[in-house]
Amino acid sequence: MNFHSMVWKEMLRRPGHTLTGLLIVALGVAALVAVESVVGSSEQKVASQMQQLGANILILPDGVTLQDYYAADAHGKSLPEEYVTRIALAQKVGVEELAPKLSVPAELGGDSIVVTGILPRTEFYKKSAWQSVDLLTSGLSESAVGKKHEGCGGRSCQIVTADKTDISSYASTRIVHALEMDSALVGADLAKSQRIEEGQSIRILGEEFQVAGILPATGTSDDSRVLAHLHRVQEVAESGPIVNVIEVMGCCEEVATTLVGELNELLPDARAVTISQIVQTQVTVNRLMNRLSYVIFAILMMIGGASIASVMFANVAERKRELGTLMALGATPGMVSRMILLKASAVGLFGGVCGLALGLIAAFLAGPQFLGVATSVSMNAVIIGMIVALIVALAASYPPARKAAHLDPCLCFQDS
Amino acid sequence: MRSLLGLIVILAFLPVNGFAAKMTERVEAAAKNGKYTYVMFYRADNAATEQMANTIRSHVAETREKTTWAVVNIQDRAESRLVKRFDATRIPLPAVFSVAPNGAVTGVYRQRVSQEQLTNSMLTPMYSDMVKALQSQKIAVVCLMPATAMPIPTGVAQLHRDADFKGKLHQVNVYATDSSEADFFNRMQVDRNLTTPVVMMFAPPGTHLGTFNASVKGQELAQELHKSGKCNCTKCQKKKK
Repeated sequence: MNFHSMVWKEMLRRPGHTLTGLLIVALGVAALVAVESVVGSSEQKVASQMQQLGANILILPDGVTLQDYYAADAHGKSLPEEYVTRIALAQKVGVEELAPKLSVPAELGGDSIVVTGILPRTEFYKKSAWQSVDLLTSGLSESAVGKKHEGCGGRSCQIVTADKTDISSYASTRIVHALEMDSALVGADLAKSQRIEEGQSIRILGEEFQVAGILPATGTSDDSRVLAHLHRVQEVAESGPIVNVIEVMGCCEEVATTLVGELNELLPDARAVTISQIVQTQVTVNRLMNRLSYVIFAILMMIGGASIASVMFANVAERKRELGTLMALGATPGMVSRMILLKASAVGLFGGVCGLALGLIAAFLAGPQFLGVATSVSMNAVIIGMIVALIVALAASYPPARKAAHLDPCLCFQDS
Repeated sequence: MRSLLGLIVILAFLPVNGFAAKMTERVEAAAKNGKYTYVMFYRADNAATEQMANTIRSHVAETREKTTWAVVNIQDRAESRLVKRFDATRIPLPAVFSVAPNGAVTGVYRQRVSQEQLTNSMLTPMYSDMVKALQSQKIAVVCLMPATAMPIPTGVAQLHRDADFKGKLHQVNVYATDSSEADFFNRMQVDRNLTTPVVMMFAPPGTHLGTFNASVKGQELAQELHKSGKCNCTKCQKKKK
């Protein structure tokens, strides 16, 4: 019988004790890995939204709050479309594009869908062209109207380029250059489920629309929508000139904060918010979850450590005679304490591995299901969890190991 | 009494579109007569509407020779063509559009307007020609000339011959000797006492691309256009891709 098999046999002889400690350690690591992985993925999603939409501002009807940027038009409240013109004519510094949206429920092939009215860029070109004279004057005298934001490309030119006319670019730019009144763009998922192809005719809200393009998948609610010209959607839905949201694309993130104040002043009955304000709640929740996961981990580790220590002390007390025999047969105090520490490290490592597996399963199930994020493993949590589980198990076993190492074989036999 | 009743009945059954679109006709007539028209749209009779109407009225009274005005209620179905042309149901009202005789919109003012703004929206014929070109999505090449006898800078002709810009340029020649265009020189910040031609380029909706002297080569102008990224030529499109 060698040293390792002695440790292994010792663990198997008291499986209940071993499992208790192991389970608590596993739960602690599982909680840390699961929460950290989900929070990490959520943070990545927020960061990617910030990078992609950092300079964007949403104009919402007063009283509307939202957490999902891509569902900003799904609140049922409206704004007059004249607000769009008001922004366009105000020629605010840093405003690059405007994208108002109106979403109405409809049916397509027996399925309930959402039809979103969007306004092509050409409509704004027409309106900003009304101010050609002001822009010409400002271009020559540097007055406020049409002024560029310093360091930015500024106002985009209205001579049409090929990348602007590509309808599928809506998926990435959220802007379409030109869109015929009877044309529609269909989201990737909807096109797939309804087998819709480009050039096909579809009937929505009692009117025929020609499918001008199928949008590439974006992973947003746009994938299951039909997009059509805003004025056509207003007409068929008999809504009048209203919109649910106005998306303002700023030239850069730096200008967004200044623009929010200016837009709130320009549109007193609406509310302008930046993407960072929208994701603020999510950022706060993420931060809280992050802290909470460490608190839970610390508590469970303390309980686990105490449990392991108690089991080990009891074990040493119970095994005094066997330990005395071992020492009488020549086992050194170091060997005795190593035996106990090895048992503890096995509990710590195995508990950590079980916790890791449990945590990952929980994260991969809960992430997409409840939080709508595709989970990726938090390597930090894995490393911290495993190391702390091992340290706690070893630290908790150190006093009993030390006690066992200092046993006097004669006294052991005397006591028994 | 019976005839009055009859008239009421006839009026009641007349289709709304049957009435003449008086304001639309007025705008068209003003254009034919070479006059500027201030087209004012409103939704309701309120203080803002009244104030705007008063400002326009007094301005038109002072410039009767050159201007006229039309007031349109956006709910008036007879004027739907005008309402649709200016998308007036979707703009903050009251609003006034300054329309040049060539159809170019030379100004739009919402909720309030001043005499000064109305005056500034009146342009010289060549200026409004340039604005019209910009509103038709063309690049405006302005040649400010000391006199009619002087030849147009060769660079401009070379630019016209460049295949990259075929159909995308609109040339406007303005002569310092033409007193009616004095305001054009003023607004372009170019001295009317110039001795050699000056070339200016603008892109829609009103971006100043550059001012060049008479010796400018077509290649330089083309280069400037390419550099600005606003030419939309095939070469630049390929580069962007």
